[in-house]
Order: sequence, then structure tokens, then C-alpha cells
Amino acid sequence: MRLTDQAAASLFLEKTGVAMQVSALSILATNPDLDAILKHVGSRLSSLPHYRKRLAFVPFNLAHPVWVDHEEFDIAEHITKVELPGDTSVDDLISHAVDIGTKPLDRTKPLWAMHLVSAKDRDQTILVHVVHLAALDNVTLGEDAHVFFDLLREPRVAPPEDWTPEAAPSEMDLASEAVKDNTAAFAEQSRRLGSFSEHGSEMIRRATESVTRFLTEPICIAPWNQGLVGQAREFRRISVPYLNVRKLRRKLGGTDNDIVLTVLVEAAARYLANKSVNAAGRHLRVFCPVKVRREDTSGIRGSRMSGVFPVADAEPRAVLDRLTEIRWENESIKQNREAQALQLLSELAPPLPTIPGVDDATASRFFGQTPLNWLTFNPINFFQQFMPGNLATSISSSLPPAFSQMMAGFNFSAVTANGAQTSLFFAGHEVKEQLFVPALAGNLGFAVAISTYAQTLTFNLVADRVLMPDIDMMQSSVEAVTQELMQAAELSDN
Amino acid sequence: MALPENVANAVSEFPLEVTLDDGETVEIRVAEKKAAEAILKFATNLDEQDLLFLRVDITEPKVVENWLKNVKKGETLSLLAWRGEDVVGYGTVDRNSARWTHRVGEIRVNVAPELRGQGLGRQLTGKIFDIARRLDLKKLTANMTPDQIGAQAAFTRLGFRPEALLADYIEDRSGETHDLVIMSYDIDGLNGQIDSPLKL
Repeated sequence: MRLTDQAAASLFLEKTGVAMQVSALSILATNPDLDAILKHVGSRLSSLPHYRKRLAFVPFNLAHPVWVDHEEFDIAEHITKVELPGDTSVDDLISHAVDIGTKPLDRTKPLWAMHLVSAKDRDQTILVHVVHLAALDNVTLGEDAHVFFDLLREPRVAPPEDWTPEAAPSEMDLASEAVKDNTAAFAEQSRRLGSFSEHGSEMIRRATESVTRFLTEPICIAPWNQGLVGQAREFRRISVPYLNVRKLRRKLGGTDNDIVLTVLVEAAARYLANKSVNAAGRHLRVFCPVKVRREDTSGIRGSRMSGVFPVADAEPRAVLDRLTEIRWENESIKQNREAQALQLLSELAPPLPTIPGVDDATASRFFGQTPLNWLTFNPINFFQQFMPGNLATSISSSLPPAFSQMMAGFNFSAVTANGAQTSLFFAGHEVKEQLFVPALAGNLGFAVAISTYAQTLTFNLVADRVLMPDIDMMQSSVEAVTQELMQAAELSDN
Repeated sequence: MALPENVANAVSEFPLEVTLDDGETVEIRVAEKKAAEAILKFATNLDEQDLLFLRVDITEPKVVENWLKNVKKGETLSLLAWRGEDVVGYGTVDRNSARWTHRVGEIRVNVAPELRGQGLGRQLTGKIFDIARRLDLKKLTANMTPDQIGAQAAFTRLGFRPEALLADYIEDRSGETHDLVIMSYDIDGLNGQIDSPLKL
């Protein structure tokens, strides 16, 4: 199976040491035995065929890589146990787990891993489940991961399976299949364009409008956007009873999405104010990945990841004013069907080009710096990427201040990860908490996953340690805004 | 009872021919009274294991008659998958008439054993989900047993999440009790999915 453009883009977007992978952290109440986990995970792999496949790159880069069976697949290479000193706190365990989750996966093997992180004298273990975005082609990590969890403490017994890997295709096979697939993709593209309806044209018009906003409404460059993401991460979590969020929704109106986005945008605006960033008259734009189900004439064919890009004032506001602003923005995005329109646009766009004859590393360097960074265009980063250091610095510093303080694109991503509201078990071990660590890339030095599990909603904040060294300031802002919303809704005693 | 305009629009796409994973085509239509006989035939072809977990016993003519009456009254909206003259699956959403749960809709899907694994359940689930979302409901639920992994995966893909596990809650026709998983979808809840599908 060939990688889609979207999955391939996640490979191209990587640069040395910064992997486009996401991880889920499950805090287990007890310490599992490694052998038992190997057996448990191995017994569930039949539901996830890509967990035993590796990437096969096509000669001369004629097309995107394909997934092929990994003939030397050994589950023990994908699951490890890490034991830290006895006095390690849970927060330190989490911090260590986040670091492990951001270490790039070996591209010659199936692109996933699990790590059991524990401390010698502590009962809890953190299960780190890492998957590359190329392997999560249009599914979420949560959808992938649910295979390994049970609703009952007693794990269900998976039917026995006799897996025999298929022989890897030859270089010649890979090349000829690539040519065939390229021809088929071209024919499909032509068919779609030929059968384009009036309704489709209207959606394309909206999508174009939406994309145009990126250029016509430049956003404020936040401190965490002023440079390229490196390898070190900081992670913080803020958990609130999910019931409180639902109460806020009932009392103040809107949806859960409106409430959490209000919290995040207002917290980001306050962070900017605390850092004395001039945000007057400027905006913050958030990338919210969403799934769009697509359907052709033969019925539903599956989902694709698309996105919406709500925009809001970059200056702090009263929380209820912020909520009104976000509700209006989200409703407008919904009415304009922006996510569907952007998805349609991407379906009709020419495939992400490969560069025949150019090796993957070079192609990766070229593309890795362009698609996302064009969307998040920042003149400073542009010069840093393509020019020698001194020259880049010299040109950047000579830019007029107004130019260097504006960028197209978005400031941070906010992804939702809705989990079970009842307790789950992993190989018989109760999961006490579930956390998510989204990927950082380009000049997006800050991202948030909003997860729910067992009646708790958690803001999972992840930041590049250099671009946002003071993530505690953002954490405090999130806590303060949440509290103010509760007070505004008269749901708080304070 | 006349359907609300948006629901009428949603069902106006039917009858609709859909292609299954193996290339076979079936037609999905909105359930009508005249389908009673075909539904009974479908039910009698279900094996004992399937019949254990039916919410209502659709092998009984009276039960099927009531179901189709509810369809006519608008309390239930059902889609039937047809292969020729035979019903090979259904997807249905029931609105509870009790005041305190009238904003909750329950989705049920069933597919003939010989067509399982071909994507028909996924298609019916997706279609009935789209219709259910337009019924001015606040919450959608789907009930299943913990070992119905395929059903859980299909509903998970649509954004449903396990909401509760009720121990020894259901009893099969042989008198044995089983746990029940309630999966739910909160219309205004935290959501990473867009309402209406993109039609290509």
C-alpha cells in the first residue's frame, strides 16, 4: 500500500532529530511484566497490519514509499522497559516518558514503539505508545491504540494468528508499481475534475477564500514561532473534571470545543501580553485537525484528516467576550464548511510531487522546509533555512520591524483526543490517566492536545524547550482562564 | 408524521446503491411497511448467537409490525440494505418517547452473516449516523457487549466512546447474563470530527 500525500508529507516534514510522531501516555496503576506485555501486544497485532510493515522507498523517488511486510519483524525490538531510580516522582516519570516518545523511530522498521517507564519503588508505570504520523494515515492514535485496551480487567483472548510475511518487492517491482500508480492517480484526478459539480465549484470558492485569509490576515509572531523546533520538549498537563466543562457549556452556551478553544486562545493571548509582545490589532490563528468523512458515488469510503483554522484577537480579553468571539468564529467555519472545502481542494490538487532522481534525504530537505513553513511563513525562518547563518541573520535583521513581526499561517495546533469515559485496562492493568503528546514541527514550537478519559478533561501542553522555556507561564494562564470561566458561570466558590 | 426538512433531505438520497469491499452492490432504502416479510426472512437467517443479543425479537411478526409502525410515526428511522428481493442488513435510530430521554437516540445495526466483513455494517452505520445527527438529538448511543470488537471499532471511527460498562445487565435467550457497553456520541461534546460528509 502506497503512502498518501498526507502521510508522505509527514516524512518530508522531518528534519534531523525532530520526528513527526505522536505519543500517548497511559499511567498504569501497577507494574506490568515485560514478557506479558510482549505477548499481549503481539496477540492484538492482527488488527493493525501496518504494525508489521516497514517503508519501502521507490528507486529514483518516482512515487511515495509503500508499506511492505517487515520480514525480520521482532516485537521485542518495539517494546522496551525503562526503570528509573526509586525516588523518581510521577511528574519526572512523565517528563522522561515524553522525552522517550520524541526520539525518532527507526525508519527501516515498522514505525511504532512502546516503552514501559517505571521507577524502582513506585507502583505506577507509564506506557508510552509512539507512532509516526506516516503510519497514522487518516486515523488518530486513539483509534489505533484502542485495540490494545479492554473494558474489563480480564483481557479478551484474541484468536490465534499465523502471520507469515510476504517477500519484499524488488527494486524493479517498486519502480514499475510506482509508474502504474502514478498513471492511475492521474486518471482519477482527471475524472474528478471532469465530473466537477456546481456544488463542488462553490466549495472550492470557499476553500480559496479560506486559504486567502492566511495571506490577507497575517498573524502575530509569537515567541514560540520565532525559530525552528529542536529536539528538547517541555510538557505540562492541566486536568479538570469533564463535568465542569459540560456545566460551562450548559450555562454559557456553545460546545465543548468552543469552551476549550476559548481557554487556549485567551491563555495564549495572556502569555503574549506577559512577554510584552505587541499584539495590538493582530491575531492568533489555531490549527485544529479534524476528520472529514468523504463519500463518493459508491458510498462512504473512509475519513481524511483535514483542518479548521479559527482566528481570534491576539490581545487579552474578558473571558466571556472571548467565548463569544470563539463561538462566532467556530459557527462561521462550520456554516462555510471550511474543513470539507479544504479537503476537497486537497483531493483535487495535484499529488505532492516527488523529485525523480533525487534521493530521499535531499527531497526531504527541500520539501521538509516548504509545505508547512509556507503555511506558517515567517521571514526570519525562511532566511535561516536556506542561507548560511551569518547571511541569514544579516538579512533578517535588516527587515523592517513590521515585516518581521507578521506571518501567514497559524500559531499553534490544538488537537482533540476523546477517550473512554469509563476505565480501561491494558493487559489487566488499570489505566489511571491518559495523556497525549502532539508533534511539533517547523516553527510551531507549541501545541496542545485536549484529551478526555474517565470523566476528566486534560489540556496536554507541549513546547519546544528553547522556543518556550517558560511553559509554566502558559500553564498558569490556562488554569486562570478556566477558573475565570467557572466564576463567570457562577460554578465556582471563589 | 412528516419528517423535519433536514431529515427529509438526508433521506432523499435513498434508494442508494453502494459497493461492498468485494465489489458486490447492494441497495440501501428507507424502511417501508411492505418490507415486513423480507425483514422476517432476514431474521430467520440469523444464527442463534446473533439472536441472543437482539434488542427486540424480530423473528416475531408482531414485533416487526410494531417496528414499521414506529417508522411510519417517525419515532424510528430505519434503513434497509437489499440484495435483490432480500434484506441483508439494517441500520436504525430509535428516539425514546420518554420526556427525560427524548433527546437521546439509540443506533442499532445488523448485517446478514454472509455479508459481514465486506463493509456493509460500516456503510449502514455511517448512513444512519448522518441521519441521526439531523434529528435534533443531543446524544446518540449504541449498545453492545464487550466482545463485539468490530462494532466498537466502527462506532469509535465515528467518534463514539465507551461511556459506561454495566455488569450482568443483559440476559440472552438462554438465560445467561452478559455485560453491556454503552457507547455514546455527544453532539455538542469535545469533537475532532466534522458534521456532514464531503461528497465527491
